[in-house]
Amino acid sequence: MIRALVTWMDERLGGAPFLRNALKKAFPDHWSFMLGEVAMYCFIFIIASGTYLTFFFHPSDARVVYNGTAIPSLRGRTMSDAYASVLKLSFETQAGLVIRQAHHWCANVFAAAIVTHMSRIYFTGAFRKPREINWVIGLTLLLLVIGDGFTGYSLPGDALSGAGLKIAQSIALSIPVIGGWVAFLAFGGNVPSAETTNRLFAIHILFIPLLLGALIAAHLAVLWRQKHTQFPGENRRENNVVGSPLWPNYTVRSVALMLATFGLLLLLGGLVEINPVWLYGPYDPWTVSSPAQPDWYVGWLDGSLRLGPRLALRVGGHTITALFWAGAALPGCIFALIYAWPWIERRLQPDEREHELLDVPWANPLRTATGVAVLTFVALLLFAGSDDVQARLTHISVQQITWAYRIAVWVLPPLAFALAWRVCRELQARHAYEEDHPPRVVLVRTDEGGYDEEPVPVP
Amino acid sequence: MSSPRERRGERWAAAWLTTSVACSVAFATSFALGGQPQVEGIGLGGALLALAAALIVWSRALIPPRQVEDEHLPLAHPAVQRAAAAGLLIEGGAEIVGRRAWLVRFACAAAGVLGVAALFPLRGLGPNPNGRLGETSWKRGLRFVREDGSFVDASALEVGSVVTVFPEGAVGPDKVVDMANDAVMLVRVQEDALRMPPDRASWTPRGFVAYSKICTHAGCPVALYREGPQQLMCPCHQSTFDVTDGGTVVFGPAARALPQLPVALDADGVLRAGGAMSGFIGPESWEHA
Amino acid sequence: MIVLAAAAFLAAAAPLPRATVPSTPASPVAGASPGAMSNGMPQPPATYTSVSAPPPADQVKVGGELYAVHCISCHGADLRGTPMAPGLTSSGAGDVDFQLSTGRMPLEVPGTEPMRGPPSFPRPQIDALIAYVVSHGGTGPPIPVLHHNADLTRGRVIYEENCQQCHGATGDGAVAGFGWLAPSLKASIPVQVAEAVRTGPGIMPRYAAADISDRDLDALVGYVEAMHRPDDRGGYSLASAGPVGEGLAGWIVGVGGTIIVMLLVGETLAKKRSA
Repeated sequence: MIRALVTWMDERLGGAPFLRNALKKAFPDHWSFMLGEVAMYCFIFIIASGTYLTFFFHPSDARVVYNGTAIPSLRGRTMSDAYASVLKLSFETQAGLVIRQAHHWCANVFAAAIVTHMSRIYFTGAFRKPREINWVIGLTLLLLVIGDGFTGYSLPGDALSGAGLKIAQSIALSIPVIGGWVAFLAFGGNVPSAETTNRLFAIHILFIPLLLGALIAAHLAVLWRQKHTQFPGENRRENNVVGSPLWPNYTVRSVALMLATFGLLLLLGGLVEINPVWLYGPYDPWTVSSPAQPDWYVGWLDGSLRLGPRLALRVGGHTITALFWAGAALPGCIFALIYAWPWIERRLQPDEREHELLDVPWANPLRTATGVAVLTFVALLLFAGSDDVQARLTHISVQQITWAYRIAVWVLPPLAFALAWRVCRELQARHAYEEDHPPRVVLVRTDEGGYDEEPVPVP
Repeated sequence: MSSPRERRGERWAAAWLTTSVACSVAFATSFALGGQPQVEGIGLGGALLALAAALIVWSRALIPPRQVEDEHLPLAHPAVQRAAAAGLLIEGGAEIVGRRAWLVRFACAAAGVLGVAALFPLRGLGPNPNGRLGETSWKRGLRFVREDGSFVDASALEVGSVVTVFPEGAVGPDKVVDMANDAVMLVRVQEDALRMPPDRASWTPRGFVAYSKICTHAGCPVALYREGPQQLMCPCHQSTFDVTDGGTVVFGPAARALPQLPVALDADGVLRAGGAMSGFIGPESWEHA
Repeated sequence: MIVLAAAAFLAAAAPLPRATVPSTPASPVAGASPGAMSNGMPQPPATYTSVSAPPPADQVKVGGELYAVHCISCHGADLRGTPMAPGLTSSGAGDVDFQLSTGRMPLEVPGTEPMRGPPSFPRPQIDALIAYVVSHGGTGPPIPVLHHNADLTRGRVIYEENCQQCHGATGDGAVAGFGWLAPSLKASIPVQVAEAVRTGPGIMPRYAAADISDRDLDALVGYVEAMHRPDDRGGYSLASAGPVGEGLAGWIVGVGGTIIVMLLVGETLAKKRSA
């Protein structure tokens, strides 16, 4: 039957040689090469679960009175139709809550998987020529996922995400010259506007997913054309790639990973509560709860706002506001640096060759140390975003914790840079030593008259 | 003949597949009986994880490992081919342009103008941002009301109390956007604790002080009142403002004091706004000088 | 191991009131005041709900003796106060009952934030101290009389307008700045909630009847009581740490879990599985 199928396809599409080559394609076996696939499977899951949710969600800010019985303390309360539809989906639709929670978990894991995957690409130098295109596409994918996550969790119109929308508008407004227009076009007016939820819905289910789909397809196409990189090793050279074949070995592994990803997301969706909007209550622009944090992939931005300098500049008849530095300028600089890194590294370490073999991280101390420093910086911003939660846990005043982060965020990254540099140099030295001093053996006579090998410890 | 390792693998894979079926059945049963989120999650999630586990065992124990080798041909082609491709582009382009460079420039300009014109419909996406940013409905003489429309008079607040107020006539389910800007924190402090600047001395009769509730940092409500130290604090990024001296920033990333609303108290104990807000409310933006 | 550490972190994130023993409610008195409620809500001592009835003289004497031993060093003779603690002349039965029945007072270390703990005095001694303060010029609010109000919607509206910015949407407490904590409400009993609202302990503002009416207070107290059993239908609540806990769990379970799968099917640099 398989033969009949292949014949049928080849007669119409001429694809037999392609199929043969594809099935034999080599996929290196190192586990870290599968990180990108986790992101891809998260994409599939989020589209599938999101499609289900669109059948139930009402993207409308029209006021309705909630008469459901699921949440007694909200009965008779006036709220947006969007919020009411989320309550209905969660409590009056079977499996609605699990799928909604799994969808939100997937957003968190999707962003985390991309960051982990990008870290692997970075620390092994896989972004070098000819793969700069995929580096740029990949970082754009991360930004799109962050944007889709933000618009997504702002859709229900609960108190927590409503505060976040207001903050986002304030950041948009702080952008010089175009800020007002960016804010009002993105949110349909001054938040809370009657257009906001519908606007965010269009961005969340149509605009960004289309871009995501197109860019992921491009990402995979480029990867297919350029073939995989690989770690150096026995029989691994710049002009070959060695690994398991796509069929059957790699396919089985990859499908296992896909099923495991889906399974973990659904397990989380059923067992661990996420974004319990019925506990937060509907959004009122003049009330707010404490603590107030966004999802983690926006949390570093919130941390930046908390630490931000109280610095407003008057320029002509205008103001570059305090919020601009922490909310727009700093993230802009970080992402510009990451985008430009392949070219920055080429400038600092001139290298016009094509690279198919990866570096182990300590082989390039400058790259690794810079990466560690940047990750430390962003991680500190992320932790700073939960400074009040930490204050509650440790009974240290939030003011002191905030000051500690304000200092740490400038002091620790250079220290991390220096430390990583040192570690790389040490590992380089050790490997060089081991290459110069290969393991030796001595022959020892046994009682029976034969010879035994005994390894000599490296001096 | 299958080795012991393979037979063990087969048994494990079968066990995982059985677990997967059991989980799927549990999910379906729970669904049919009305559903319960935790059972549904374990059912569906467990079924998938068990299937994954079966495939993991399969891949480790049952599929013979093998390695294949692909060639990495250099992506760049010989210079001759590149020159040919570039040459085709250039020659075809030259035929389009010919000696009519001015016409080509005209065409590009026309396309550019069309592109700009095509952007105009985006204007319909939102209202004009200039204008009402930071403005409120507060005017002299307007009484303070709560969210539900009930009046707030001097008898409502003891020293150490706080209430959120709006201008009379500007509350209601259809006025949410206005209310978002107008929200004011009305606090009553000990009169001798006040240290207002001289031009605001009359803004705080009998210890009633009013500030905009919209934080000047990023727009969250400055909802916490710290009664002893007499400070208003915003929970979003911990900007803290001193109530007794005109809303100056005591801690946090806010760069601007909270705008203050003058309070007027007449002989009957009626609380009214004594004027407009001392400045625009909320965070600054490029528009604000 | 990382999962255990994270679980320990999240368990620690659950707010820890220093007391695990609920504080003793006011003892019921025969001939209870009108409007005494059912549903297990404790009744306040009827003698203190009306301002005009003076407490029995021997109770005042006992209270005075207790005051002289436990309170005078900070609150001064004749409730005047000292540099270490404010005077109590503006405190009433509500204040004293709240501070003593929640174990906040006597304060072990002067100058620190009073926190909930096991009460230091049994109920009769608390009553005696209340009698002493009230009869020596304590003019603050009495112990509130509560009635059953099942309007959870109204209670929630009052809570969201006045309370959640400090105590959190779920009542788990949050920071109130400069080292102060707005505590978790999960260990409180209704009369204590009402007392806190009317007297504004610590840096908490106070809300008189003209601000939050008695009826609204009943609804609020009912809602706070309902929050003791949060609706966590979605599963484990991650100690109500919100998106902070969710991010941690997403990284650990999502990325950590899939990395485990990848390690099971793939190779590492050190160990190659395939030929």
